[in-house]
Amino acid sequence: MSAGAVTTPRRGNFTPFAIVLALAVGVFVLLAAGRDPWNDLFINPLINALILLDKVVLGQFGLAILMFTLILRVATIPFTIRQLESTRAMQTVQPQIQELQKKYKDPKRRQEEMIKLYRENSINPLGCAMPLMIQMVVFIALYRALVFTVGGSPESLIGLSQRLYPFSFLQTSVPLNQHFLWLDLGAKDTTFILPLVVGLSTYVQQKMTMTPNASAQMQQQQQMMTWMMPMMLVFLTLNLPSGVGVYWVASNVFSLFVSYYVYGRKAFTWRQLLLPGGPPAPAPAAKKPAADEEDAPSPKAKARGESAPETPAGTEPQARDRHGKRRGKRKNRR
Amino acid sequence: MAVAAAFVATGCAQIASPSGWAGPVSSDGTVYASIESGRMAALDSQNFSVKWVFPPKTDEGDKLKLEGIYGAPQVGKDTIYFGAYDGYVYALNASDGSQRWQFNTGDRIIGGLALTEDNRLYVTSTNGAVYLLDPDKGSQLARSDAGDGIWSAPLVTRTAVFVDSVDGKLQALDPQSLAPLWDKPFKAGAGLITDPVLAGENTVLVGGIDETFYALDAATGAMKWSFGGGNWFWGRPLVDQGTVYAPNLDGKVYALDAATGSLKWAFAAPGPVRSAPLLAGGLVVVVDKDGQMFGLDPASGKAAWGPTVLNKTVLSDPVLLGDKVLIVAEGGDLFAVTPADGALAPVNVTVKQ
Repeated sequence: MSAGAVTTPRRGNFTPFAIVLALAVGVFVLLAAGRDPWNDLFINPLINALILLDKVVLGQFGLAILMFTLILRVATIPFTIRQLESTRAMQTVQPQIQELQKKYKDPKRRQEEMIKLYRENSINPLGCAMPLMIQMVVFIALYRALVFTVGGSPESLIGLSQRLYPFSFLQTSVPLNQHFLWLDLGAKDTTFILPLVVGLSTYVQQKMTMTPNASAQMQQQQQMMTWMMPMMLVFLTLNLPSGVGVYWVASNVFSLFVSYYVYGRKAFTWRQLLLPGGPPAPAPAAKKPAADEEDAPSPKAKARGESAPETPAGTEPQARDRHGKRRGKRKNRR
Repeated sequence: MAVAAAFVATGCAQIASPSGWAGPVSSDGTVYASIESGRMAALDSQNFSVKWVFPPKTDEGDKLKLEGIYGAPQVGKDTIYFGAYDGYVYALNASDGSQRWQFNTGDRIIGGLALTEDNRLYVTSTNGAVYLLDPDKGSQLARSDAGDGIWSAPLVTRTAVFVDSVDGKLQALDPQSLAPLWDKPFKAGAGLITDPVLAGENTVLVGGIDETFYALDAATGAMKWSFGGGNWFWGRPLVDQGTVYAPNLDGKVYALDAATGSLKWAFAAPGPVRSAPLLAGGLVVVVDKDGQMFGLDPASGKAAWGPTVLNKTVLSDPVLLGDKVLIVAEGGDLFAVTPADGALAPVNVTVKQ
């Protein structure tokens, strides 16, 4: 058992809950005041922030969207990294989970063993759910704010008028200059270039961050999502204002950088990009002596790129650092 | 996850595609109205039967994508003129709706056109250009650049053409050459988007995004007075007997003294008001965005009747057709309301072809 992992205070897990709690309080206060919390807390501030950024970048709304995406993604980066790490850690213990599922037929016992496994490996099974939820709320709010702002028709400006704060420096930006590169940000991109770029960047982002799965079924599902998601986003971009597509591309590029930081360079190979399927699945965990378990890093630590001091024979060496350097590989061969 | 979020977001978001808010126009027993997004129709004013639709619903007609019509059509001797969101001015034969000519402004047309009695056609475009066209041939006679997009219809008098733009400027142009008449244009705090309107002989009224309504000297552009509302002024104001009725997107209709700009009364409708108020049956008829209509006493602003609920989004200007108020709702549904009591008339059928 990894004693260090168990005793490490998991203070970071509290942050998302604290945010959700603060938001819940805000929602109740606004509801009590007869306001619409969704609009007052999320959509309207985002819309006004977008228009303020438009002012900052001298009326180039395309640049404002790029800046806005960058700021929001940087602000939520702790959640993104936590989610990626949790996902990675969960997938690292997949072989053990499968073994437990085979070994214990009694659901209660199986559940107990799985909880024990999570505890031993310092994994919170809900660790990726909360950051994911926060990101999802931010994503939907941002998306709606973009749609309101780049609505692309005089009718949409009527809606914007109800959401714009009454400051002259914001009012002077309206109506927004919607021309950016070859795009009319408020209209669909009829050249099909943007939807293709959205699809391609989503595909690359998906493909580069595919994680190994022991289960063939999960591997297949992941493979299917790698294709389905870009296709769906292409379809959505074809039917939405181009400004939303610009956001998606910027967001995907940012995600690639974050994934590189979390997963390391090994995920960024042409082989990974071009070949069907994801990286090879980790070998099932060998039964290790108790002494080894004490020294072995937790899967969460592995996800962060920390290597074990010694790799027991017969197990997949998880000895690459964050950027995929093969530390200790040669030594192991010997 | 992202796909699920995208679908949820897509489902939640209502993306406003341009559908237009052109008000109807009645002439010689025919009502010209956009009864479908991007299509102009001629209807019999008695039974609302469709005489013609442009573009026609044929394979050839379906290739024309007008997108939306925002300005009310202008009726000439035997020709109908209107500008569309696709950037073209269309001239149609009034009797059968066949196209006589079209003129490309190069950008969206939101404001609309102005046709004078001495046969001059003025067009504004969101590229900031003002065009003077020959109504018979559709050829360009003069052009002027306002500097920024124009979202309103021009106001044409004997001596000047007034155009406002989204950079907050109002300019007076020579009606023939479109050369600027003032030393410098009037500049508001933010975009001016209402149709300029004349009050008396020498006052131009205009309002916009800076939530302020302005009265300007028509000869010099100097400000006479201004009035602050709670949101943008976008609807065309109504001027009657020394009072200006200015609709605002804060849901109020402000009655102002035309000479001083002082507030006489303000009526609060439930929703934002973009449609121009209409004087009918001795009442000021007001309709808000959510399709709630009211008849107001012009002196006190008290509601004589209302709300008459249309259950449709209304952004177009109502017009008087005989003894009824005719309204085109978003999507093209037509409503007729009796101005005396606000009753929906029995002919309030939705006319679609």
